[in-house]
Amino acid sequence: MKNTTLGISLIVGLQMVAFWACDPGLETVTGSDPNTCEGCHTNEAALKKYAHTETTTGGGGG
Amino acid sequence: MTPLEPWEKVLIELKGSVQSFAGIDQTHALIGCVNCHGGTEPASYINGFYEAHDSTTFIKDPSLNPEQNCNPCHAAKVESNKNSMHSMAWGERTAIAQRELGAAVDHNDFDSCPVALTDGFDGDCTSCHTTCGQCHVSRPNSVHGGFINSHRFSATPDQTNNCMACHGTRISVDFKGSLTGNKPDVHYLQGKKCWDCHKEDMHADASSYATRYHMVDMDGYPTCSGCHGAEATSNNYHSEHWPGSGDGLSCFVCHSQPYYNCNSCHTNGEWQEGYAQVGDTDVHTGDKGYSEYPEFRIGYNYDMDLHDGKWIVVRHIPVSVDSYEPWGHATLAEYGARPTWEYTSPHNIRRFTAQTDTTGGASCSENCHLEGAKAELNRKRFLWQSFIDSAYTEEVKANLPVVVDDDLPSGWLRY
Repeated sequence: MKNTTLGISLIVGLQMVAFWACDPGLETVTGSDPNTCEGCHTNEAALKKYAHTETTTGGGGG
Repeated sequence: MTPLEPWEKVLIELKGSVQSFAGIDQTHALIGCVNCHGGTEPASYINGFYEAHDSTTFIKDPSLNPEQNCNPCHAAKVESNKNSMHSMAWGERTAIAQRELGAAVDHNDFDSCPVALTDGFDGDCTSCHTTCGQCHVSRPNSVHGGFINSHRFSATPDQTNNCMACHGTRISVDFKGSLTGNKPDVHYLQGKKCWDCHKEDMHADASSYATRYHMVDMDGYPTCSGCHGAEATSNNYHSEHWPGSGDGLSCFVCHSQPYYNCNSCHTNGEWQEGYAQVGDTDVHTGDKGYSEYPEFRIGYNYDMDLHDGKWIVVRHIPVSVDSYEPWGHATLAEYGARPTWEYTSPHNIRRFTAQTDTTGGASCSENCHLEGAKAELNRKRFLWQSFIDSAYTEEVKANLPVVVDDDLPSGWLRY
């Protein structure tokens, strides 16, 4: 019984960590500070959250 | 070219063992992002995105100011590139100047044009012609930008994402054989890249050249004869028609396929979207007379000092007498000074084309000469006065030097 409870706790804990780490709102990146240029621009999830505005006018192709 | 998603444009993708931008481009990583791009780093968590990209300090394309941001390491290129063909679009300056001031002027006279033209040019045309970063880091603005290789600086531009992003309708479509009925250019099928032929220095000061075609004395400038000169007498057709000064046929007369022509362009933004599309049909039309259509026309060589051959292939240039009205310039004063069907060098070369097809042992002259059984069919290959009169009524004077009517051999059919 004790072992089962410990196992469930570990699984739930790991799931929470995984969820936390994958939440783009937290801008988590591996081995880099999310508040730096590189930290954010290497974080696909964060970019998908924030980089949503079109800023470049297109045109041409002659 | 389909634009990238906003997030894709700015993603630095770390793959495999690469843990940082330094693993992608070690040299430029040493500089640090903010030293070129400005902005705020580190940004606070709460206002991170907006603070980092503060509009008062953030610089999206640092190479708009190459003297400051590229010069420390690339001084010579930065200096010469100020006057390169890509930066200055000298040929376009020549075209505008001639259509406003007269045939005798060139790019050196551009600044004598009315200020509406010069200001409009600086605002519209130079927005494409171009920055270091739009060739060496990102897709150009013409296709909405975006990193090509995770912001890695590439000495050689990417053919698809850089060269053909701008040179789309008149190069990419031709080169890949995208028009219905066309086949890819033989050089494309052989895996040739743009720079295999265009060996001229793209950063060179080109201020002494009125157009790109005037650059023929520049080292590495591509010519057909540069590779194929030994074939001048390789068959009867070459022996008879090889282009010389005022004589023979431009290589393109025999070896190019139909190519895109355009009507109406190019100002006030109406051209910015939906341009250069290839879809279910090859003909595209839009507002203000905009039209894009395949065509092949042989014209008379109106500038034999510049182009070899008595006969050339011509392409319709999308300029009308009021093209620059959106810039505040109602009509071009000397619109007729320069042909609107201009010399062209289509990048859709094949040994056998509709002109040179000798299936069944026929002579290729049967597909071109205006005599014999196919004379009637062959007439559509030439630029006739009557064609201009009916379809391009404002452009009659401009194209008098190009139409073929007065110069074809006697005895040939006329229109």
